[in-house]
Amino acid sequence: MPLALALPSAAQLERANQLLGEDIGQRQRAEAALREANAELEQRVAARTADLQDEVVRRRNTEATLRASEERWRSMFEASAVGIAVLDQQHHFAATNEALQKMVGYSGEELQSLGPLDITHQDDREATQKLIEDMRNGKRQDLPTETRYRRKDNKVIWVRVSAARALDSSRSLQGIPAIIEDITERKRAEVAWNDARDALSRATRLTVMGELSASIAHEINQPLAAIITNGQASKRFLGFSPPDLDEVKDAVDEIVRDGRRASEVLKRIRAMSKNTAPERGQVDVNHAIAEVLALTRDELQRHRVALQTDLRSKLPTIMADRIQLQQVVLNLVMNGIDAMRAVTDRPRILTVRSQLNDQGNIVVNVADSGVGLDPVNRDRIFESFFTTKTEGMGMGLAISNTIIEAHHGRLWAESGSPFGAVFGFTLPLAAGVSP
Amino acid sequence: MTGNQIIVMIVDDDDSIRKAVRRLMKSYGFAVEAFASAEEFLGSDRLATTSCLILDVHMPGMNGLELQKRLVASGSVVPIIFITAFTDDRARAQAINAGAAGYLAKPFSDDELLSCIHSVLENAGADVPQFAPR
Repeated sequence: MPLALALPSAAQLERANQLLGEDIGQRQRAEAALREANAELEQRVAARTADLQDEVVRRRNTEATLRASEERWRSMFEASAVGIAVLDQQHHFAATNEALQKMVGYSGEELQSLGPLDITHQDDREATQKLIEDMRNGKRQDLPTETRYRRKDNKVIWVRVSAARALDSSRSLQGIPAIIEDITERKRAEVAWNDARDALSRATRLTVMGELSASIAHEINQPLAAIITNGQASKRFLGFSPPDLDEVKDAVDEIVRDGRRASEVLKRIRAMSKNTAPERGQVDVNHAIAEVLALTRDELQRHRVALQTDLRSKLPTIMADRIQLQQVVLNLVMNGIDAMRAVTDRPRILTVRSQLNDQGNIVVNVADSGVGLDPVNRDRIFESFFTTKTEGMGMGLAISNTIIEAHHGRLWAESGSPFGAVFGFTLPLAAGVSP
Repeated sequence: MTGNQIIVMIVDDDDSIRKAVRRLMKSYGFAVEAFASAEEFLGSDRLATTSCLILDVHMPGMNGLELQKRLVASGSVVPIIFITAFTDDRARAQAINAGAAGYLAKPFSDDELLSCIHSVLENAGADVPQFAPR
């Protein structure tokens, strides 16, 4: 074999060796760079992973908090003793709690196709409809209202509904939350209390009328006596020959007038003894006072009390219960007479005054020249069953106070000058509605 | 009494009663004068001509019983017939004890009042008008 293979020259070897050396160096550098890059990447990944783990923990915590919160709300919603509902855009009961379902006797599913109007008592529907309209067009921001619902079993219950209007449609509130309380018992108690108060008020009015009975009998007896006497005189004048027809005509005129007078007295008594529920209407306060004074005219005279009246002319009429107001005036007049029983060293004067004050309220005063108010009792005189009279029941002023309060006025007492007592009450012109 | 003229005086604060009693007295032929209060009567100076006084018990100011007391105290013997719408036994007893000739409750019958007046006038020896009953 030809040994033609030429051995590399020393220079060539040197060159190759050099190249190899360079190559190794480059590789080593690249490897080092790669290792560095790897290490950095690993570090970053580790950091990011740690971040992510933190994030996961955070999210888990938030979810747990939310869940806990929701569970809390849900348990409150479900366990609540008051009815809670969420109304949807169509005003249906989208969600209801058990308390509400029990209250109205419908299941949650049944309620989903019903709205508050459907279960509202027919007589209250119009008012409820108006409230809802007002809420919708922003005239009202919330809705605390007392109304009647008709249960599925047809029973009527009283409820108090509180609902807040969705602030605006863009906030995409899921529904309107409403809280519905059953207040039937409270209403029943209220009605019973009002009935009892009215009954007591009537009873005391009749008691006072009873005290007045002698005077009232006199008021009727006087015209009757005059009628009989005129009749007897007429009979005689007719028996004359010729009959004295002029005298008879005059007598008949007086008979008619006296008959009317007796009938007026009866009318006033009947009005004051009426055993009906309070009713409001336009009342001319001066006229109401005058009627009471006509009834007590004789009582005043019997107790030798001089009456002075100072009634402001052209008082505006007010919305009030005339009989109740007359009861208050009657009470104050009778108290005034009573307070002057013991007075012998000075005139017994009862002054009844009506005015219009700066606030535009009617003010009625009844002043006497009697024994005056004992400072010790002064704060107690409006209390029920408090009395300084031996025969008093102690209800007169308490009931008068209740009546005036129901007319949004105020009843007070002060010492007269130089003696006696002044009782007064205000009546706002817009006397409002009875409770 | 001046001549045979019988004058009945009525003192009553009630306008209707005053007019009616006045008319009744007139129908019996008596002369009548009416007063709305005890004070008015006292101030009239007609006491001397009064044959009979028909007097209301309850009046504002001086009442009938007080007027009676006043008259009795002043020595007057004028017969008094009380008329009242109140049935008050104490007032009645007081009036009768003080010498009242009658105490009639309103409404009274004409017979009651007339017989009362007759007995009063007969006691006083006056001539009763002819057309009066009895």
